[in-house]
Amino acid sequence: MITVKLYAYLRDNRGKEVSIDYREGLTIQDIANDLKIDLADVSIVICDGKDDLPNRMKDVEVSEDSVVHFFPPVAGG
Amino acid sequence: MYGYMGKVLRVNLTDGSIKAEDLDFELAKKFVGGRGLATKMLYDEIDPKVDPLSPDNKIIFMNGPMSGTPTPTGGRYMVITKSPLSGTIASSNSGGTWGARLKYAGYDGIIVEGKSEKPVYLEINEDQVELKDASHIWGKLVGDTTDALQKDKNTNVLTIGPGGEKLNRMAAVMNERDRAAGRSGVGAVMGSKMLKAIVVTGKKKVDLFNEKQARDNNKEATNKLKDNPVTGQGLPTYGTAVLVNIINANGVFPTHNFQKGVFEAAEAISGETLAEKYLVRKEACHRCPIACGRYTKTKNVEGGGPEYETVWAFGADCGVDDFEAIIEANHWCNQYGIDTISVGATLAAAMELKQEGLLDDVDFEGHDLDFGNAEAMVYWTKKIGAREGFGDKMAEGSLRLCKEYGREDLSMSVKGLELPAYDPRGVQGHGLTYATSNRGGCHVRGYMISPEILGLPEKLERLDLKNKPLWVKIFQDLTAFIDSAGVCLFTSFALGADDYAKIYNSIVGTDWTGEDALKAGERIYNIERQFNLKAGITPDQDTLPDRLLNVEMPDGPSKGHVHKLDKLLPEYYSLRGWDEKGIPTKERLSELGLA
Ligand code: SF4
Repeated sequence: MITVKLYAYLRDNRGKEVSIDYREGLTIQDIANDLKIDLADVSIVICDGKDDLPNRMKDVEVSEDSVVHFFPPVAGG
Repeated sequence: MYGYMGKVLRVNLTDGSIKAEDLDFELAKKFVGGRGLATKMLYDEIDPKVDPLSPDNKIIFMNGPMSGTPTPTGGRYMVITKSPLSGTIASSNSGGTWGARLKYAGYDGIIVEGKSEKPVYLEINEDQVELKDASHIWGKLVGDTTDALQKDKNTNVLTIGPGGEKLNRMAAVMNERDRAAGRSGVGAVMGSKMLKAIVVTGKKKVDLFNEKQARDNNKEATNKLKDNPVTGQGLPTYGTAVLVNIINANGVFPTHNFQKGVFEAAEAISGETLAEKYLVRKEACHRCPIACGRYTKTKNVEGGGPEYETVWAFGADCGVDDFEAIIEANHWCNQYGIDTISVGATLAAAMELKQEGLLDDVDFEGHDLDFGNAEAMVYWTKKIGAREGFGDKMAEGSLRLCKEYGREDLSMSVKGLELPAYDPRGVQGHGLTYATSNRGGCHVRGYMISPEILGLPEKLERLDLKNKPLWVKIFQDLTAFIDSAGVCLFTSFALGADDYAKIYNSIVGTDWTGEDALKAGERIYNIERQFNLKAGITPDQDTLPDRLLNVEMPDGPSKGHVHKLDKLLPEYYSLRGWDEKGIPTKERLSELGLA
């Protein structure tokens, strides 16, 4: 089971956390598709501690117990 | 003279004299305004070795050319003095409207010198400027003082609270109640001079070099800010605390005085939770289309804030997951006029001293300072504000507190200024910013979190060292220009050096490129460095607490890492044109017009 954590307005109609069944070859892009998230609305993906831009993460294959975070553009300071 | 009002008030509190002096336009252009111009003035006018709380120190309130103009966020001002907390140059920035109002009254800035025998406040109504007796408001909280001095909608009140009066080394200067020039203890310098407040009324207009061009630039910049997902949506909707989750998910959210990098209860203190449970409305500083400010309410208090850094300091750093308690601590800091970052971090240091068994003799009055004790955290925040009991010792800041108990290493500070809400073990460039910031442990002298975590303007690998010194230098120089021009640093999420240069040109009548703006920023960075060197702040203080350099991060996505400062600093010095010991070379200083 993969845990997907969502933040800010990506939570709208989806909730804070979603579980997804693992399947062979599942990528970050597949997870986004499953959740109807357009990666253009995502600024940072963190998968099992590795963070990067969605276009550099989209083909990463997740494992059975991966934790994936999707962040929309946020900032502060 | 365009963009500037052309007048600076000089107020001598020892003899009560007040003069309106002409602004040196050439000097203003060379150092831009705000942070740069006031630092140059302080550098020329005081011996940087002075005792910061003595009458020989001066405190300067200074606007930039963009404040009070139609430029989006053009209302920010700087407070420049020698810091009683760090002994470095203190340069604190605040928003709200007070800065712009000072220009509407006809002045770019105010230089305050000497010391009054009794409490006074300064009242400015355009050409009428008077020092008045403040005995009726001395001792009052920031809210009550503001109420007592507020006249009409064309008036803005800047004041200190009991924090500044009692020479709390973490005291802030407050304006419009809850906007703060928060860091470095600038409020204590006002307190040491017995100056309670500065009340400004005015309706003048700032002359612009090219009104039409300025209007067009303003429209273009506003559109860029609105169209940008961060400044147009993220910040307005969630405020700065939206950072809690992303910083925590990267394992760089300092927890329990930087003993760990992940706070299990981060969600409970996130910007999302704030928006859902405590937000009454969003608030904006003068002419700001972003409106990142929050107005919050709990069953006990209501008011402005809290910001991300505050949520972290009273939250994860103290191990507290109770958002209401955090909002209350923020409220009391604003009322007493003390800096939320330094106060929260000092409480966290005290909690670790206690954890180590070093505070067994302290009377905690039934409110034990243990990690996670929300009630005690709020209780001791108030006591720090009032300088009562153990709060009196904590009011000296974390470094002096920890030194007293023989554990200087537990103060998570650089040059005596408490570090903010990012653990540099997992963000290497940001750690270099902390180590080399001219005011000590500060995140807004070169906000490397932007590229290293948020991917703005491009994503850098946060643990990599490559090119980080160059990024840090450019960010520091650009920030120095922005702080000096009089706009909010948050605009830089959507605007770049060329945008700022274009705006500056239409206001001042210069012909600058983005490169020129960066060069001015570099000049400002170097004059600050020169001030510090003359003050006796040696380059060996360009460092980080031992824990961050030598103890591996124990948990989370940054586990196993330390900060590799020794690999970054030599390249940084060389890019800055400083020798290997960190001293600016004659060649670089003369190239910058500083020799
Ligand atoms: S972005 Fe926030 S801090 Fe900056 S000027 Fe606007 S409201 Fe003030």
